[in-house]
Amino acid sequence: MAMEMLKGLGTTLKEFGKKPTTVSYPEEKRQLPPRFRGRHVLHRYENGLERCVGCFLCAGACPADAIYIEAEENTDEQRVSPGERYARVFDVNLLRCIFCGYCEQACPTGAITLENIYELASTHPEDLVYHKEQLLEPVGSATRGSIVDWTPTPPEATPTPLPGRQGYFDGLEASAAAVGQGDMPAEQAVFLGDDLSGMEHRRRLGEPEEGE
Amino acid sequence: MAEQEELVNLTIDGQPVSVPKGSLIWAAAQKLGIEIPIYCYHPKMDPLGACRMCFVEVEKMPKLATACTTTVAEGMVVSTTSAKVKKGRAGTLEFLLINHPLDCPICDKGGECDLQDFTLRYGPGGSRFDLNKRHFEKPIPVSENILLDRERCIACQRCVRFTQTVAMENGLVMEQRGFRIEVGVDPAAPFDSIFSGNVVEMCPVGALTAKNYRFVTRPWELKKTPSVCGNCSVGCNVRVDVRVDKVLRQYSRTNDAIDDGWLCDRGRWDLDWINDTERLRTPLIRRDGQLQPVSWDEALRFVAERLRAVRDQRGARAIGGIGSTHTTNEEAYLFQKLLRAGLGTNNVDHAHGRFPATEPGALPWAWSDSIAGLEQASHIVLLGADPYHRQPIVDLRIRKAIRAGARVYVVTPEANRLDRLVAGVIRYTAGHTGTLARALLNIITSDGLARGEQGAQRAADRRASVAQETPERAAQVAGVDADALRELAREIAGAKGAVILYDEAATLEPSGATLAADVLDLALITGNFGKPGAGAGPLLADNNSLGARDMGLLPDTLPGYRPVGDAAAHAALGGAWLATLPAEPGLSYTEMLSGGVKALYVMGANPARDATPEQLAALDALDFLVVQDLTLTETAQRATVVLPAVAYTEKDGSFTNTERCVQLVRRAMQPLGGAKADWEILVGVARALGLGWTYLSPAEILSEIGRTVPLYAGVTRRSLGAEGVRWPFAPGERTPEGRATITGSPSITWQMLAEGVARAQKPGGELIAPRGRGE
Amino acid sequence: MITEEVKARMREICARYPDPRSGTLPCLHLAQEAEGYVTPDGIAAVSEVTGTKIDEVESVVTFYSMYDRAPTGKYAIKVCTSISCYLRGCDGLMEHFEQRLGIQRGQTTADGSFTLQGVECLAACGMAPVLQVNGEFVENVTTADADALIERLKRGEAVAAQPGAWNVLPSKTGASAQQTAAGSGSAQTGKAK
Repeated sequence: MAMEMLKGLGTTLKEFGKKPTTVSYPEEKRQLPPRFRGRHVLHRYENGLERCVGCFLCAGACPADAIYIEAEENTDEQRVSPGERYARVFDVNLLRCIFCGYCEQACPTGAITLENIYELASTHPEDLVYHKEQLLEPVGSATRGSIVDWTPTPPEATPTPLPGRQGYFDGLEASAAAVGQGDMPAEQAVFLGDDLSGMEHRRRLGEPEEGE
Repeated sequence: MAEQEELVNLTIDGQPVSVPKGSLIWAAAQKLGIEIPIYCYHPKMDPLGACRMCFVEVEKMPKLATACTTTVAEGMVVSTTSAKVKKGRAGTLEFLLINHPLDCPICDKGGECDLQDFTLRYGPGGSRFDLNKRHFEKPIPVSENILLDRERCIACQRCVRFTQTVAMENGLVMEQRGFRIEVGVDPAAPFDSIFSGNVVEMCPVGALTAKNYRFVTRPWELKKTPSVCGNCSVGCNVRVDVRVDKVLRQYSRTNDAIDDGWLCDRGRWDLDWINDTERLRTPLIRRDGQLQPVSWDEALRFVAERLRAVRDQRGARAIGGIGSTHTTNEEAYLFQKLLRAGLGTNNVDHAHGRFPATEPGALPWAWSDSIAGLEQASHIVLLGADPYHRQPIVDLRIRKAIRAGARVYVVTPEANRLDRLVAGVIRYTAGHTGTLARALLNIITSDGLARGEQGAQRAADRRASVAQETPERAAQVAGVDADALRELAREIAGAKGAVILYDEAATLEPSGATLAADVLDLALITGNFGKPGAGAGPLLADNNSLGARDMGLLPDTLPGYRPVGDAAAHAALGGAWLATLPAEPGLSYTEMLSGGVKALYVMGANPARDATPEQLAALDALDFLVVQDLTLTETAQRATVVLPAVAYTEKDGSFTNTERCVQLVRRAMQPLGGAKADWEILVGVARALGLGWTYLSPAEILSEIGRTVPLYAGVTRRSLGAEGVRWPFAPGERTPEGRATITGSPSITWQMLAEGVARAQKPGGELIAPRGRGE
Repeated sequence: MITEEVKARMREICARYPDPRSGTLPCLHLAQEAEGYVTPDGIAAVSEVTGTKIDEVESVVTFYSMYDRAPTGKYAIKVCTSISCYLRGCDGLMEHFEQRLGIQRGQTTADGSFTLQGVECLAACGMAPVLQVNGEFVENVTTADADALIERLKRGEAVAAQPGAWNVLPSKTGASAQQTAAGSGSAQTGKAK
């Protein structure tokens, strides 16, 4: 009997000097692996525009129906994202979310990633429906997030869906450019064969004329 | 379908198939369930062969053939899956995608896009095109409702062919040539057609998108429910697309007999009244002069108490009910049942008021032929009717008839969109449609233009009654060209098959009291009756104008147009309803609004909107006014109790359209919180009155209608199927499973209407503008 | 402004066909002749006479390169830019014209004598690259031909040296075979007289 107790104590003593596997949260925080999936972050481009174009693909991919989006049209006065469309409302219900990461897989612009943010507790369920303002990274920062760790390095000489974009069609850069082509210079309008009638047409529809 | 069609036998992918001679390979493959991808071809339009997507390999043909332009031949062997075909399709797609921007994530079509789908199924994985794509300013408006993104366009010309050949309206045209080709509109010919939305639906890419659908959702977010449009009396088959709690659009759900696959812009987009934030979410009771929210229980009990009190103090005749031409057949039926069997009064009517000649025993003035029958007509006469604005898809069918060679005469007081296309246009002073009809009868009876024995007989009967109504008199009174009328009469009399249509509203004109009967006589005397492509009838205003009447929302007839005094009907209905029914006719719409009743129950109608000051005063003087509606209408603002109802997208039921087709409406979304379907409210009131109604669903009510209303005999929710059935129903047969089936007959025959004609001459009816619920 | 007289001529033309719609093309020529180019007025007049819709006429006008939608200079040089001509170097030819005339395609020279346009296929692929000057074809055009053509036009001479031989420029009659803009002169020399 005593022998067994000593054996057990021996095990304890053996572990005594080793570094503990627990941490004293919240004073100390654990170093998480780069692919850890915590709360979502919405990213921006270098120029401050939002990457999200409000395409609903993340909401469509979500197995838990946790994402709700309402999209709207960018205007020249109020440009939120490149191209025509942006998400006016972007809500993630973290109570429904199962942190599977399908949303970041579905995203064509790399706008949404699951980051190392895990401090998600609240006494009010409605606090855990995160809105766009809470999810967006602050103006001035333009990170790519964990997508960098998830995306494999593109092999050379893979087909390009877009001119001038060499490399692997990773669903990020390529279609991001495609949906963001609102920034590219448009060819001179040849609507109705000549500019004159095109302008007439716009006048009829009460649109401001170009060059006025 | 009587004559035997010549069939051609061919083999597609090893499967034998027989199709009528002249069919396209595409149609034959369709019959076998083999998909052949198409962009430019549209089954409702002539083939073009522009997109080169539908390549198939035909044995012994040196090159790939386009399935949409190649007609079948005996013994043809077609392959849709050979390596050559696959390569051809992939090549076509690679070309189509050269300038396509691939902005699917932000494109409204993304998710229901043929270019996307076929690229996934048949396309190459990548592109060898490494130059810059074309860029255009995007999007540009082509009309008030539609935006054009030229980058996405693949120049299939579906939209252009629709506006030019189907709608025959100003609209989209192809501009330029070669790689410069693009869709455009001419500023001098604006694209303002009511059919414009169809180009958005048929665009196989996201080049044409709707302004009010722009970026509001993605297709996979939508709940799609097959239903029937509730915006006018045509009853086009639609798919209601709902996201969460909003109806975003209606798409066409092709029913060749009714809409031919098209839908008008009103049906497609005019749905804001359903999404209205002003809609009522709780019952209201007037207390201290203010309408105050109460619970459903309290409201229903209050309504029952007050109705009972009025009945006990002043008798059942002091209670009246105004029903709706917008609610379902089931609700109209329950409404009149509540008033007749529950409260014991025949004071039941609807907004149109007494419809001419719904006399005891007669059928109503229903359109004796069908919408599809218009295609077979050699002549179509529109008498005071403007289908373009009021029944747009009927107008589109008339255009199809024009293309098939029909001579159309537009006889209207005001300019009509069809004027440009028709054989003859006759103008007259508004309000004299009836005068014109009688003048036409006068010409036909006095010039001996009657055809057939029945026609001659009827002409003899009518000659005296229209002897004074010469075209010259019409010219004097109505400012019409007498010679033009004579020519028109001769055209009708000489027609292979003429359809004469008038607007329901014209029967309410001072001159229109006998219009319905006169027009029917016109058709009967000239032998244009009881066969496809010939007939007469009204174009009705609302989605269930006919159903409301069928269900007995009339003061003098029970459901199925049986007179209120009919003993047999009393025995049958009273037995089924476990009640003694009142035998004397009730008060009409106008009589009820002129102080004839003390308590008024209004379901889905808004009499106050078009009421005269006297009628408003009468409404205010009522002891008790209950209103069931979606919003606080002018009438509801005067009510004692307001009960919130729901729109047709939020409930099950059935509508009967202007050509007598009974069709199912399906619930496409959750009812607005706090509101209830009209039938639920009626059941609630009946139960509060102690009537012991036990209906649990509209299907149960419809089955009761099938049992108790001879006109709808045998109707069940199941028997109506996906495309509805037209009354009068032919006797049912039994399917092997023992289920009764009903088949609709296309035309009302002479025998059916003969009795009605005899009773036609009936004065009455004032001018009441047709109204719409939730407008 | 389309005068009644012109409209009367249009009606006359349309009367020759079973369906007046068939007269659309000649009527548009008349309209262009009357006003120098096809104006909205001209389109409206043709639409009225032929009984077609305005937008259908518009579509026809934009389809054919022989109708101008804007005023042109004295000589309208329309260079084909479709595939055959492209393969035979129409791009170089066009650039040469632009340099030589000092204008961009689609523009008219300041003195109003030349308008330069790139157009869709002129249906003379066998003799690519081709261009049209006021409706007259010039084929197998080299940059030297282009220079010669402009000189001739400036001097007020006809497009071609001999009437009827509109595809043969004076420069090609000489013994020296010119290189085409695309740099392949063999087919050219074989054809040159």
